[in-house]
Amino acid sequence: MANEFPVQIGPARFANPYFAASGCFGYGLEYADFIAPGELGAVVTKTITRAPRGGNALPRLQETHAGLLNSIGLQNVGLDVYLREKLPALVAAGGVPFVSIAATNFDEYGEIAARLAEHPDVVAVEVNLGCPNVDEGGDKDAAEARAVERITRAVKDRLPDRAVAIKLTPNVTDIVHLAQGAEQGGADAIVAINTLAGMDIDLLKNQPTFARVRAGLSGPAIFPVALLKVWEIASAVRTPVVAVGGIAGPTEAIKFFMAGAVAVQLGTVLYSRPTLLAEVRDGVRAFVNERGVAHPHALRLPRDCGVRDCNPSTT
Amino acid sequence: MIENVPLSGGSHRLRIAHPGARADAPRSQPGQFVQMLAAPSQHLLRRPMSILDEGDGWRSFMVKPVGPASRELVRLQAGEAVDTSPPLGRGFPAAPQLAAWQRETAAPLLLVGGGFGIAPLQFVARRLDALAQSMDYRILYGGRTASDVEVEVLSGVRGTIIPTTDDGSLGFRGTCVERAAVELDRAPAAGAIVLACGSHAMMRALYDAIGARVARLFVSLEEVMGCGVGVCMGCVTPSVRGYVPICTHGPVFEADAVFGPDVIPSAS
Repeated sequence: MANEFPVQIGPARFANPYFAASGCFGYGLEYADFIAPGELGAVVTKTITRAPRGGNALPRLQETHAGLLNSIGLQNVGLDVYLREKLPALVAAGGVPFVSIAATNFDEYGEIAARLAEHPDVVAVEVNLGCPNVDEGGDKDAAEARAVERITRAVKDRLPDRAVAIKLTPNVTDIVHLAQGAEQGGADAIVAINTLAGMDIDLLKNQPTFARVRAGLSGPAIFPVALLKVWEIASAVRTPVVAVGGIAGPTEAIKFFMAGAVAVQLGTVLYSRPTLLAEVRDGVRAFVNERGVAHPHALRLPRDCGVRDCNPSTT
Repeated sequence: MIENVPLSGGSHRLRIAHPGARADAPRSQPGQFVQMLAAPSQHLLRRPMSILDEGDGWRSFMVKPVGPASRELVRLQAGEAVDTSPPLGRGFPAAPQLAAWQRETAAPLLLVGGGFGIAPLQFVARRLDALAQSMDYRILYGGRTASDVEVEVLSGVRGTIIPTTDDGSLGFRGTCVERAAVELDRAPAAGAIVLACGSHAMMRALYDAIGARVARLFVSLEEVMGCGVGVCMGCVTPSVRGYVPICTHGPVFEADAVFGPDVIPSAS
């Protein structure tokens, strides 16, 4: 069942185009009572940093209308423990590890990539360039195409035989420039989008809800933004785009494929509906059959349908 | 939803169908919680609700309408749908374990609940009452005022019930934390076992008041949760092992592990 609509990303082949998004599926086994990790095309892990991180102060979560603000701060076990304990456990359970990483400088990206290269079980690496919840290495540092290109190259050079995907922040003037930087750097895929930066205010405490003020917005609320970014990136680069942001059911997955995505990630929705994968898979399959095509990739809309006459009455 | 019974102080006792739940051998531990949301709902995340009781094919919950999602839940009528998870987290020590400890020490066993924190302690009490050998225990049930103490949820419980109110409108005048200290003054406190559930501030106050005097103090911590299974890291607490998610390492902790001197306090 897991083998359905396979997808090739750089040197890696995935049995299906439905991945778990970073931060929403732990290290891959936490939801094992609800969904076998091998059912997913890949498990994008919680972001791993070189040293363990304790994460941010409380509170860390605030639900919004159709969304979720988070300020977790990349709490994770660190690279050593990940490689020693979490990676083998996921592989043993049949999951496909798509390891999310973050670092605070170019050299550290290279060092982490070199360590991952020693582990043949690491199928793919997602570079988290867009976390709004950290001081260094977050979305503000990754807002320049040249920096994105350099980080991409630092990672890809050390992982030539693995898929390297670059996850971009929407918290910039033009995400397409960043995507072009990733493409220049040799990325096998571009992942869009990371969370949108937002904030909330605690009326009782008379202060910003989160200690860092900024937090990351995810969930159904951000889907239209993610869809546009995927559309814009897929229109501008040849590198495959993996879409993430606001999937709540099969409809959003179908629309991401139509916008040009080669694979999709399920994120925040998994917190309340860890079994949604089957529904998405069935819904996409039914839609693909109804359209009489062989693969969701064939749903991609031609680019010229986006340039209809915008102001017909002004001519 | 099988049944929705409004209680005297504004909470509701919701009885929800759970296939596999059993009266004689509960599959859930007192102190465990279930993630739930009305279905359909205006909201995104399921909310953690402590299990009040378990019977054949159902579990019950004490839900106070304090926020939009809990207001939505208490509006549901019998027959309407609720989206629920299985029982999650680590609960209080099982009744036979509590009985064994008490036999060793012959010291008091206190259940201390603030507001709707009484829910899991009610479940503990029912499990204690179901033991072959009868147990001597006291339930301290605190609120600001009489209407906060919905004492009917304890009806039929065999332990001694001591309501406490800040304004003295029902039972002991003062907090249930103050009353817990009084209880320990009159008995050999050193071997005492105390199980508690309430606000974070109350748990902290209880630890400060009696933590050093008793043999074992277990506290149930409350926090906003995302996933409920240790994925999102949204509901962490500082602990002796650094920040740990309350949903999987708790919600019930030995108090020393989260309030004691060896707790690692700060974020990275």
